[in-house]
Amino acid sequence: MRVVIAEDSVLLREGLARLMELGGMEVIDTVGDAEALLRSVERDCPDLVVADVRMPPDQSDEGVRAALLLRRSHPDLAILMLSQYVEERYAVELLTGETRGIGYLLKDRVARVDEFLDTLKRVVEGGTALDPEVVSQLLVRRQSSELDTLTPREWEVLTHMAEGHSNGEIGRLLFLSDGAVSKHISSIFTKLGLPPNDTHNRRVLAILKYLRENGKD
Amino acid sequence: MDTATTPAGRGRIGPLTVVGALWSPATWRALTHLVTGGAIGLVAFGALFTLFIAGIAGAPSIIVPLVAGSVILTLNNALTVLQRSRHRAYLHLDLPEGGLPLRFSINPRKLLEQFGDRKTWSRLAYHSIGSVAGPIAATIAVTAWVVGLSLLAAPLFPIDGPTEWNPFAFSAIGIVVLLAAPWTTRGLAAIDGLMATRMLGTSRSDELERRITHLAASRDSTVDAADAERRRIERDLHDGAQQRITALAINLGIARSTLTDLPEEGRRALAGAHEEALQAMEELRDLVRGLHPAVLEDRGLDAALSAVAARSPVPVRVKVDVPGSRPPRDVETVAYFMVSEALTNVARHSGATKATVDVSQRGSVLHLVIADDGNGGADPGGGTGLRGLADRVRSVDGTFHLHSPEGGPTTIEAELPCAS
Repeated sequence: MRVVIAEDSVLLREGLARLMELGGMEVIDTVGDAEALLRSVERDCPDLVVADVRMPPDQSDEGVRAALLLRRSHPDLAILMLSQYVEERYAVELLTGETRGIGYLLKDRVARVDEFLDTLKRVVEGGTALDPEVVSQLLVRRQSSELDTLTPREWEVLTHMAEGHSNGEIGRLLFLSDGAVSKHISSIFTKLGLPPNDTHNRRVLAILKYLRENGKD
Repeated sequence: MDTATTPAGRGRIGPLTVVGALWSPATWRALTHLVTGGAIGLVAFGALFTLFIAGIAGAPSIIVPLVAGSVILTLNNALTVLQRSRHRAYLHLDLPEGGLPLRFSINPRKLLEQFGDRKTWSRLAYHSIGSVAGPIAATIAVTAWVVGLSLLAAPLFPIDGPTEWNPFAFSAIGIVVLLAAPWTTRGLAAIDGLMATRMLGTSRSDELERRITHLAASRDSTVDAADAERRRIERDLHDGAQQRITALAINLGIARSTLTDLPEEGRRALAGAHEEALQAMEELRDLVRGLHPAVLEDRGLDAALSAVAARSPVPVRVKVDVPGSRPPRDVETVAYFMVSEALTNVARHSGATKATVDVSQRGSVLHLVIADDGNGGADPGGGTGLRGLADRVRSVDGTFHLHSPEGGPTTIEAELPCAS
């Protein structure tokens, strides 16, 4: 597993590199801006990119823009975005279309080493990882009354589902049996009027699409 | 004010004062004052009279009275500036310095606006009275001096005639007139000065208005400086301590995951250190967010508010409708902290099960409504941060309403003007 890290803070960059190595990955390059990231991916063809949303020169959304470019040019590349604060717009942009191998996390999560490595693994294996705060921000924008018909338990399941967890993981996190999780999920899909989906990524996509469409704009 | 300009230094009139007044500078300044006043009065009389008659005579044409009115206003301002400087120079009166607008406009609305102002009329009244009284006062003063001197000099120029008056009697009368002349001069000047202070000076409401403008400006700059300082501290913490403590937490996390063969004691200490570091990270982040949230600075109110709402333990629904460009920075900051504080209150005190935040911009006013379904009874004096909210809103000249009857629900409304 070959990784490129794009992060302009040297301290965090070094910490991330050490973490990756701990997770058994090979850090082939560390860069400090989006231009260098694009060049590095062209040259070294990594399997995973971990990139900051804000990077020089503008400290704006260079990282997200680079990630969107890479998404098109290297569809198999797994990407994990790190951000100082959550912006659901970016998360949604990144997840539009294809949700394979993509993650969007707050930087603070990195320090929870074990959890972070689990998330990283999920992304590398082609899954999705959405920061819990992204999901709760999407839910804050809800304009649909259907969401309000969810039971608190279904609400929790929906949140974890949107974060990209599998049935098994949701069961573990909420102390539920697989059967109970499946029952909640089908109930959620029925209440929201979504077509039932068998594959995990399609399911996440359906939920996010729903949240986005019933949110602002 | 120069004491010499008060009419006859009251209570201390000795022979020396009376005679000394003849060559006192105050007397000669007063005389110059009256003479210049007379000259200005003559010109003003001619101009104002002509304009007034022209305006009346040309009334049917509409345009003529408009032009005449506008010229009168311009002349009024010019004369005011001139007269004020005359009073300052000769009588040392404390009248406002600086020019008045001399813009010439025949826009009827602007004319009406100016003619609707009491100050315009009081100045015009001064110039009208002055145009008649000024020349008269100047004549009286000058006459007193000329007659006094002439009579005094009578014995030098014997006149042939049927007079039986002793020329020295003329001289005696001349001396009396001459001694009275300074006081006449100064008295007249003082009356003029009194009128000018009343009619050309600043009124109390002007003075208050000026002070309010001044205070508002100094308050704004204090608020701006405080905001800038918070932003600076936020940047410093973010670039320094926050990065370092994150790196520390990562390293402790790595150590915790890898050093699994440490004695129990050591592993516990390491785990404790890691948790402490995570806790410190979180506290520092909250502190930084409380100072000035980066998301607000970078992405604006919309993004910042959904983050605040998402962190609330009570489910919140947010709707932000602010089309067009971002509101001014201070207004955004007030709106952000207002929602943030209000939602903290909802979570702590209201017992609500849900809350809503609505932000919309109508015209140049940002309208905020924060509502919950809790128990109500929120008291702005109760020290629940509500007073702080109201203060913040006032700092940008906004309005703040709290509606929270016992039993609920609670609604907080604020209107923040966005005029930049």
